[in-house]
Amino acid sequence: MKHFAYKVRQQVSYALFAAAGALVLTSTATKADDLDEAIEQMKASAEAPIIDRSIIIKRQPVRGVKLSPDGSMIAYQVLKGRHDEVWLHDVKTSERRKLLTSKEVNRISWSGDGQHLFVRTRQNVNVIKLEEGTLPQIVINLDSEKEEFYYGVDDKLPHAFFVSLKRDADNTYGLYRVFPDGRKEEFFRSEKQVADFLFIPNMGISLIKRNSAGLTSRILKVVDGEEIPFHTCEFRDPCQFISAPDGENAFYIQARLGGDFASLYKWNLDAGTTELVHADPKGTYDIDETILDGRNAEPFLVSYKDSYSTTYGLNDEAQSVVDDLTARIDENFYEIITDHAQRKWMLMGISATHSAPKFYLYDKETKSITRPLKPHLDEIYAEDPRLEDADIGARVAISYKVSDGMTQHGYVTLPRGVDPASVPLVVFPHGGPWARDYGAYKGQAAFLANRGYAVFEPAFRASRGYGYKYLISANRDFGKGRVHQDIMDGMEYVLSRGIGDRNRLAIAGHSFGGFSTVGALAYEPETFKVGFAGAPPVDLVAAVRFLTKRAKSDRELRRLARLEYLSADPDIEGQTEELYAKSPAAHAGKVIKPLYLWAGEKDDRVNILNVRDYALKQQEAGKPISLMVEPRAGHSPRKQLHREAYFYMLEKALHDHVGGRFQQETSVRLQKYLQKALVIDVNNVLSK
Amino acid sequence: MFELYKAEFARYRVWALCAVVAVLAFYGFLAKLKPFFEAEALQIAAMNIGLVGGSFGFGIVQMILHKRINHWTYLIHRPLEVHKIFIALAGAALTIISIVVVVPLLIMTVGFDAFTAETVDMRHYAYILQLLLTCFAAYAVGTFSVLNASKGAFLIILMIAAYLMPNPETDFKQFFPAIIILAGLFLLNFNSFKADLTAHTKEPWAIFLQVSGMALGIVMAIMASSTVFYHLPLFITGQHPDDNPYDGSFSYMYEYEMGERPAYVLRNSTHPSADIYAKQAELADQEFFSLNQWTFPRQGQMYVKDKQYALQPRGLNQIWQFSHDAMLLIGRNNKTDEIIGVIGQNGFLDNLDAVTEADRFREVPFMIGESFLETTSHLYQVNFADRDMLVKHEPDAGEEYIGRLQINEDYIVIVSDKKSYLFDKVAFIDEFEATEAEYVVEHPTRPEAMAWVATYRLADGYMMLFSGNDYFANNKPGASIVHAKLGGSSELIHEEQYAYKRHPFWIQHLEFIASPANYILKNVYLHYIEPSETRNIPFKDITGNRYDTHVWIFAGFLQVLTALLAFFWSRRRNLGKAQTITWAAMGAIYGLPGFIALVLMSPWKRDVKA
Repeated sequence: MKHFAYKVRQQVSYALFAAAGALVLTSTATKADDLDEAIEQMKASAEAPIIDRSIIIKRQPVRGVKLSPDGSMIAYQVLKGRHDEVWLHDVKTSERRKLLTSKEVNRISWSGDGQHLFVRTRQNVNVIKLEEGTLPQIVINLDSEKEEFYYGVDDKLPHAFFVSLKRDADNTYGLYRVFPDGRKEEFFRSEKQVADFLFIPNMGISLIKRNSAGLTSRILKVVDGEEIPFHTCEFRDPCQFISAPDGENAFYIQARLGGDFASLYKWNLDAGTTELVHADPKGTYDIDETILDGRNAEPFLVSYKDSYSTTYGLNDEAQSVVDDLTARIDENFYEIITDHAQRKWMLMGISATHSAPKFYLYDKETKSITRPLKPHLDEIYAEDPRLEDADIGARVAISYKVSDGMTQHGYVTLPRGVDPASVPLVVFPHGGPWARDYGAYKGQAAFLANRGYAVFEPAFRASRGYGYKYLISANRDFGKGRVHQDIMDGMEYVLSRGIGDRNRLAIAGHSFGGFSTVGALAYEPETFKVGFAGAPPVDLVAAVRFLTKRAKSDRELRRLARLEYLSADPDIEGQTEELYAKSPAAHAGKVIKPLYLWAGEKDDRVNILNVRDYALKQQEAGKPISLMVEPRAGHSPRKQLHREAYFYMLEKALHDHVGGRFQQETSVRLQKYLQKALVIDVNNVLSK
Repeated sequence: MFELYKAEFARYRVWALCAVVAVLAFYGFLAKLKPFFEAEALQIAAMNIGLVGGSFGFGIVQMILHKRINHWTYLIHRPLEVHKIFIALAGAALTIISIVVVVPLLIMTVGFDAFTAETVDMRHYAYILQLLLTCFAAYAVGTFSVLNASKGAFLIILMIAAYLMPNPETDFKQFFPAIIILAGLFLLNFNSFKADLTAHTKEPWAIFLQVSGMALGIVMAIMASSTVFYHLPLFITGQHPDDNPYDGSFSYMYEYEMGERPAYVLRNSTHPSADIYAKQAELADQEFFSLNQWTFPRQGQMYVKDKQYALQPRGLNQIWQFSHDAMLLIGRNNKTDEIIGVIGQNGFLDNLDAVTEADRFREVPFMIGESFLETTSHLYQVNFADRDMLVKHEPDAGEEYIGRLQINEDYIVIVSDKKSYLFDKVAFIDEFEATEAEYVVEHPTRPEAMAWVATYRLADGYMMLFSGNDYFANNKPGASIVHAKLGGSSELIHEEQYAYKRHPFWIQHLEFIASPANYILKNVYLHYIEPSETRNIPFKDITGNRYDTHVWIFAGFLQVLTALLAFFWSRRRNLGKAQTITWAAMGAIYGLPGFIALVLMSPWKRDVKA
């Protein structure tokens, strides 16, 4: 009911935004909305106890939940210590058994006949037959350095999957269909790697997609072995093949096709026309996923990661099931999978109201909803405790206008048991910048809320998922520019809504979020009391040059091309100085408030030398700076101890300078690690 | 005698001086390249060849020079007892050798001990004595080779190798055999140093001593000769078993690539997944690790037996050597030579003054890599930056480690007397905390029966192929496949015994058949000296079921035959009664080597009876 109420209020809010769109205001206050309600709820609730940071920052142990094609089995992965376990749950008998324990499982997929599981690990693809006592077997080895990879299951055959393998003799790539006994059938070979492909059975042809080293990708028709250009997908057009329905000379594709938003289209190959099947009714979001009917490869569900998540049925029957599910299950952020015949639907709920995902199984015939994995999950979480639902702060999606009139979005997380107007506010820009936050549970936000902070996560222009215009609207104006202004405008909006103490503002982020943090402390020296930046590229020009030097594979070259197109191209005359002038490094002297930095020595995206150089210069200049370096980490800390240290420093930084709660006790192990990792510590992170 | 001694000494004095300078220069050069006391194989080989080989050569040259026709007559007819002449000559030679061996090494040892912070223990000095005794023995073999009329006297040199090879368990076992061997050699020299150098050894005690010394070399010559009378002819005729491997024999497994060997082992398996395992091996990443039992270092062992010189953590300019005298690691700054601390079994201490008995290690550990120490009961990891040490892993109760830590590409393994423990490599090295093994696999048979384990990475663990020529004991080869699963459990999939032997038994067990007594003596001696070396077979194992009955019968028959042959040969050569009986006994005791020694120690032209 609460979810339903939220949705109604959201619809009202959007209508109001549309009406007020003509006004140019720095912020728009709406009528009483979800945010007001959340504020009142949090004020009325009891304060959450301070939770051990090692619990809050843990990774989710259960993932990769897959329903078998006939809906009778559920396969899922459980992270246990350093290993992955693959489990099988029998829906009918409620029995479960462990199929495999392996060092790392990337992905599990059901075979078409539901009798095998294909398990993709870092180095190979394994098959597990479901009969009791059979041995998991390696079917094929894949060499990631040669860019060999696994596409997925061939759902036209009972048990086969697709891989791409490189032939060293002539440096060509072959596409193969592989069977559980290791037999391979080559069906295509070319000199260049194929990013994706689709068979059009009715026409006996295939479509392949190739990514160029630049910004575009190309779709080609393969007819009798000959590649015929079909379509060029422009920059940031996903052009994702969905399916080729039986008996038709057509295919479905998720793409922009020149529009603003990625949507679902049907492409008629005879007529050469495209038909829009579904786009976001709100006209705000890109499509996320299309779910197919396993019987005829026709889409019947589409989903969007909007402010939370919304699924739409493409026919009345599907829509009625969605309506029934969403009415009865209190989740505002979820993903749906179904069996082939849509008899059983699995809904994975990862709403911000609970720290562990919940899995619901819906039987379309009986309309019953069960939680088949709950007993096992209860056992797992009994040994590996998570943040209790009752202790989680509220996470609310918001929308507002920034100073140039653009409508932008974001999320606010509120602590329990306090008046949000009196708490410190942490601005938490996401990384990327061509990424976004979601309405699902987010550990970092929950952590900060538990410590008594309100958290604001802005989706500044350049964020992904809100359409193409939103993405490119930054117009390379990063650093001390429009994007920074978006963040500040959003923050002002949140403050105007009675959230956060203006005198206790902090900013924190990772990667681009770190870049924004370092910049904010320089551009707004009096506004923020402290900044925490993880893996921040402090100099745009140096960042691009670093990536340029490292870019070798096609994937890396494409990333570089996107970066140069969207943000900085140091090869363009006159731009270098301009770009540097906008970088935080050029304004380092203006930073007066404490800054805390984290960097990984093996970071392949941000040059640690730049971060270190920046920190040393600040230290030399007598600025309050701390730098933590992890020699074995890349762009982010992965291991539990490293993550704990990262969050310890964040927590300490905020506590010391804006006064939130702080967990004093630390393990000896963490203490020793901090002593080693804090290579510069003017701010005395280690002091109690 | 003293005059003769002085004259002999003077003869080689200048050479000795030159040798001292050369050896000292060599040592000085080495000390510039690397830590002098680091047991580097090339250095040890150079020292052995140079000093031990040189002593052997010196003995030969000295006696050859004296053996020249007029020289010998002049020497032997001095108004001095023959044995005193030898004492004078040998005494001078031993003095020369002492100067060349001891002086440079003592200068280096005292120099490092007195003027640097390098850890120099009593064992470094003891090594000088050990080297000297070895050189003396080599000299004695050299002189004996020239003085004795026997053609095969030089074969005794192999005893020196047998003495150098093992790593003795105690100081007593280190030095006592050397003294016994030296005493025996000098007795033989005394006996051989006589006016008539063409006269062969007659005295029964001398015959026994000489044959005992030569037996090892003769056995090795017999084994080498199998190339001539067995291997080569078969190769030439194309019938050698290596060229015609028998499908179904143990060695046939090695005709296959590593990925195909499990299929060979699993051929007769009734396990329902045998085929799957066989196919998986071909796709799997393959590695192997050793089950060899190592002799753990002992307190006071000769430093040339050290496997690693020190722990030298990268980037810290520190070097940590283990002191056998103190039973601690002592650290010094690489550049300033300043002592920076000590490490005991409980961790770091600032200096030696802070050390108590409880801190000292109970056993001398292996030093491994930059930061690991291993005893039979503990594996330690040292964090030099934080000056901390922890117990990384311990074997289960009732077990002890038998092998050194092995660092492979995918995993790290350490072997106990009962199990193999495999660890995640990255976590093991990167993380400074106690660790549990990801895979724990019990040995399917005695570890000394297997040398290597091949591992094949599967979806959920490893398949391991254990194999050995003595897998089922008593020289019965076999192999097994074990599936080790992530989390610690393992399953024996199949064991296979191989009955077919590639070579006939008399080739396979040639060393034993040729001379059971020598074989037993050699193994018993070496096992006594170094019990942990599994290649040295204890007496009870030899006389147990190690050899089939027919092997014993054949060996016994050969001994009786050689005894008879020796008897009749002696009679034919008109040797005295005592000699005849002695030679018959040698044939009976030593078998074929005894008879061959008789041939070598007899004139090859028959004496014509007067």
